[in-house]
Amino acid sequence: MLKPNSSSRKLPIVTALLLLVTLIMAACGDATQTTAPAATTAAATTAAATAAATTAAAVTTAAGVTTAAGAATAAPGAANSAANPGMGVEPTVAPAGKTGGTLKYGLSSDPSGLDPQIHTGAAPAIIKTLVYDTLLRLAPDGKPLPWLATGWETTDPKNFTFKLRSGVKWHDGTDFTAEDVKFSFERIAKKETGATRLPDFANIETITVVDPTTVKIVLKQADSSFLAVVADVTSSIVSKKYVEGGGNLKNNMLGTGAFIFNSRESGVKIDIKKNPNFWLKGQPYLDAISFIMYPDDRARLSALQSGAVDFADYIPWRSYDELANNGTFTVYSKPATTSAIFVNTTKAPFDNVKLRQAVAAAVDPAAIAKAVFFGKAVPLTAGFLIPNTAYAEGQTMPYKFDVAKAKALVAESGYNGQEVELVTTSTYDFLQQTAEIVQSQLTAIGIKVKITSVDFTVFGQKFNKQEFNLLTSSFSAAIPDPNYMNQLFGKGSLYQNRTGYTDPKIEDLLAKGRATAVESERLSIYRELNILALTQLPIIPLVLREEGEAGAKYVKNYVRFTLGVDTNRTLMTTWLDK
Amino acid sequence: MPTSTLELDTSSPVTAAPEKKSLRRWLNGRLVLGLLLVVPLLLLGFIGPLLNLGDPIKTDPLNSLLGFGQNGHLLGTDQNGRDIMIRIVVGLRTSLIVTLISVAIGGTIGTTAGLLAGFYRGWLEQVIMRVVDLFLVFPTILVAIAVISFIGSSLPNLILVISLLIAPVFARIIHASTLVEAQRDFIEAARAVGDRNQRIIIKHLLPNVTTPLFIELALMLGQVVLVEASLSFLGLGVPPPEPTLGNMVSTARGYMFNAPLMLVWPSIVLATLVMGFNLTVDGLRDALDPRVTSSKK
Amino acid sequence: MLRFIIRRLIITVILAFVVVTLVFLLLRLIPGDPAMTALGENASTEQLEIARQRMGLNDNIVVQYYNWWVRIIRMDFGESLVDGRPVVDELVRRLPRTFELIIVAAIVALFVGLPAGLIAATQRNKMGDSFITGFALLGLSMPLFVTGSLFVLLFGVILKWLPTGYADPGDNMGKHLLSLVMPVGALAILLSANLIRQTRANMLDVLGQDYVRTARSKGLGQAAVLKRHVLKNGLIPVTASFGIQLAGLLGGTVVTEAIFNWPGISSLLITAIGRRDYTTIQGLILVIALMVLTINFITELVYAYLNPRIRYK
Repeated sequence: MLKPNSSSRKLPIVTALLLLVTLIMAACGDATQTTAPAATTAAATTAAATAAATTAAAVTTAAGVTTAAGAATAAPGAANSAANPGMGVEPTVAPAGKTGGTLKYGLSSDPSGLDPQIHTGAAPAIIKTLVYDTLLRLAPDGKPLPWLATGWETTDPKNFTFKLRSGVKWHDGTDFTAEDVKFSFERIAKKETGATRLPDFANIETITVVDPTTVKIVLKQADSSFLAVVADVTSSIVSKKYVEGGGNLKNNMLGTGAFIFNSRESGVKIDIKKNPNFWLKGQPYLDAISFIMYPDDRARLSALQSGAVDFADYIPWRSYDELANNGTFTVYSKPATTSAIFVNTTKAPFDNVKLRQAVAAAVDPAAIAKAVFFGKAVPLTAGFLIPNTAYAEGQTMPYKFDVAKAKALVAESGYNGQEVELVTTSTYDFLQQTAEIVQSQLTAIGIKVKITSVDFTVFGQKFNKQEFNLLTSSFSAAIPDPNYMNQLFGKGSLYQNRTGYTDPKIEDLLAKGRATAVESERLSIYRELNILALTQLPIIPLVLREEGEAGAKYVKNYVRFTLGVDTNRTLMTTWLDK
Repeated sequence: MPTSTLELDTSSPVTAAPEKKSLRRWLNGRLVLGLLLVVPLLLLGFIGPLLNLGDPIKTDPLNSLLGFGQNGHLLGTDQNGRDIMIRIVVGLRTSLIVTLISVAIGGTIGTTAGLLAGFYRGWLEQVIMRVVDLFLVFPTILVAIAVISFIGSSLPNLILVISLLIAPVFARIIHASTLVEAQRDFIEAARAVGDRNQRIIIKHLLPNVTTPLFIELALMLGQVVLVEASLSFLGLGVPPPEPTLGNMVSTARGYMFNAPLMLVWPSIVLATLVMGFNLTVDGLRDALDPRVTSSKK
Repeated sequence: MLRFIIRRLIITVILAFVVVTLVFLLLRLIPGDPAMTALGENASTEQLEIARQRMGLNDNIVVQYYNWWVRIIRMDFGESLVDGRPVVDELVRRLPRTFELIIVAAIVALFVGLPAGLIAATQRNKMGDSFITGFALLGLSMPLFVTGSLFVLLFGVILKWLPTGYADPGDNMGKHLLSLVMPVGALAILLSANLIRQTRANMLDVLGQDYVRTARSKGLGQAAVLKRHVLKNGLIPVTASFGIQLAGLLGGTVVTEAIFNWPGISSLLITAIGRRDYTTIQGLILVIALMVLTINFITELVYAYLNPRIRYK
């Protein structure tokens, strides 16, 4: 995945940095060996690669690292690292060549609501991340780092104590305290809020304000992914005073973050401006960001190419080369999301596992990677395990593209030729295109498929109500912890409700994985779970695709991390070289 | 209105003038050119798919977006590696079916409603025209989305939607013309002679509103081809993987840079079809309307 | 005349009422769920249920309907179900943008289409006619989303002469006017192409009428014949058709607004429909319906003025 151009020249620097990484890791006294393989691919763009690191995008920074000499603004948690179990490695940020200016960002979808605790899509999440803060953030290696909390303690995956940063002010000038944290987490746990992380926070037994800068949380069930959960944007802290005072989070934003919500003209733009009192001194580099809505892909690209915007999200894969070859733009793209077929296991014919396996063997991931994603996707090697983590390392798929095998499985299943409904949505052309290819490839093994293409809200409704046999969609680990699989397979979870697949063995493994924090135990638990899921196949993963943004070359310091973790926060240190 | 032109209208019924249809009339430039464009496309659309050129739906993703003449695909392949030429031929047929049937249905309903409203006036006119208003007030897109999401997207449903959309337009145009024609002397004359209403409408009114009817038909045939394309653009057209000219063009728009020819081929066919329709009916109108040629200067 | 106007006004109000009622029912019949857009695709069934409850969607439909009208009568369009913003704000902000497009395009189309249609009719089958009808044919032969995209590509991306999307007049008036050029151009091409064909056909029709021949035979010159007899009669159907077309553009500039990233009411309608934001859709349709009916009403008045014989009893 590492593009060859950038690394060789910088070999000495890289070596030096790797040494540094090792030193820091040692200093942390933490078992971060898991990140080592990533570190070898990390290379090139760290701080020392200087402000001239225009190739930032081209390079993975899985272990982006260090507070290298001369580089960067203060890393918010460096001092406390020793106290924080499982802490990740602080990425380095190159200093601004120039601060100030307004970044014009072409956004693919107008947020349907601004509440940070409700996930309404990746595009709105960019804005929410910049205005709100979370207790923790995630390092590029997926491990937690201090943010609003300067440190944390955990004796077991049930008890967590967070030490909060003092002197932090809300955008309205009031003080941020432990009460806000308690209020925010309790808000998420309330069904009425409609918060996305409800299942995770409903698991909180007690949440206690020990003192204005200390919060203690006790969970009902052990959850070793809790720190990662807390770092997600949907766990953002909101102001108790503001919300209780009748503030409307749906159409206004009030956070502690680097940027202040300035104005919104729905369907047109959202302006945010620099928070001059941001607790992390020296950031953000920009004065303001103006998010301008361009729902049509072609219109968004044209806006970027004509200079109407400096930056744009959600670049269609087919347009990567068009932009990159031009020489004036950089495409920031990393593997991020898994395209998959979701199967309704409660209805014939796919209540039969043999037929599900037949589908898995009949669809050629390489074909989909090429035709739908223009090569910006790779066939999966580790199924549901998060790619580029220790879990996924050395894993293989229990099935592969094999038409003869698929036909044999169809025969074994006793499929009676009934027509199956493949649901997709016209709102996302790549899902529809995937459906067309899947239909054609299933026809080849004798399964009769009818495509139903509907708009996105009906699509969601059909998904929820199990009105499909097969459905093309995607999933990704919103938190870089294998416990995200709970959402796919856990009883009563979102996707389990949709595929209707229950399995006591999977339940058991999920519970075990949640309860332990010991890496080696979790490794074998989740690998076993993965194989089980890949054999039962309520969800048939197809390819791991990249997601990407693009910007003019003068936009500096933006970094896309693998799996998208914390990518949005790099806008705080983005600057304009013009 | 002192200068009302109708004061001058002392003419006899126009229908009574079946002029000699000379070959010259039929050989007007527009008609010939229009037919030259449309007839081959009609033949291609209705005979082409019978020739068993290949499967327009079977994908070959590893050979997607091939260019002109590559791998035995004369016009290349689309984003799923399907032969563009085969898809154009089959898509053309689908587009023709959608266009012809929905214009026929919509035109018939609309014309009938317009004639009735304009002739009988009174409450019938009120009811018909208010229903027409209702349809015209409803944003097209909402009608389309409502119908499609309620009964699902399929070819017959698409035809239904388009018929619903165009019928009121016909009704209004025909109603307007009928109002004028119904007050002309020859209608009065027919009434005086004791012709029955039905006969008056069919024998006297209908032939006299053919001009606006044909103009509207001309516009509609062409426009429906475009409406189908626009509905595809909004994700409301014929569902995939079935090709139509409209969904081919709207998909190809996304691949403008990757494979420009993928946009060019179906666009050419689409534009030719629309232009051919418009020219043909223009020409027909010239040839059929007894008044126009006589005023040749 | 006054009675006619009053009667039409009453009918207009009744029609608006019927339209909105139909929309209200239709929205609740078609699949899709505003709660899901508000809470995102990952919300649980239980959360969605609570949200629907809060949005009042679980009430009896008659109650919902009644409540909505009670608010409308107080001139309160309510808040968007999805993002909680007042619907009125959104309408007030977006209507002028769509009006701007339609009105400018209509003016351009009238200035181009009418004279061109007249010239084509009077110069029948000569060079001018062929050229003009050729333009009209070309203008009508491609889908707007193709020509529009090509415009953007050529003038916006390659030549960089014009902005590729809406520019706020508050920020920069000059840029705003420039940003109008492409969408107005695209709309005006369509409108004027239609207008040319309509005008030409109707003019030819009238030119062939006996009374025109009579007028000519009485020795009236070409200009006088055109002015006194042909224009008025020929323009009646044109007026009707142009009026309908303009009215249809309210909520019908969907493709234009999408291609040129123009945040008017059509794009609002599309977004709101996509989100099943019932209150926004209802408010929007109510306003559009009233306006379309008004335009139709005016069209009819003009029509009646131009042709006294069809004036209502």
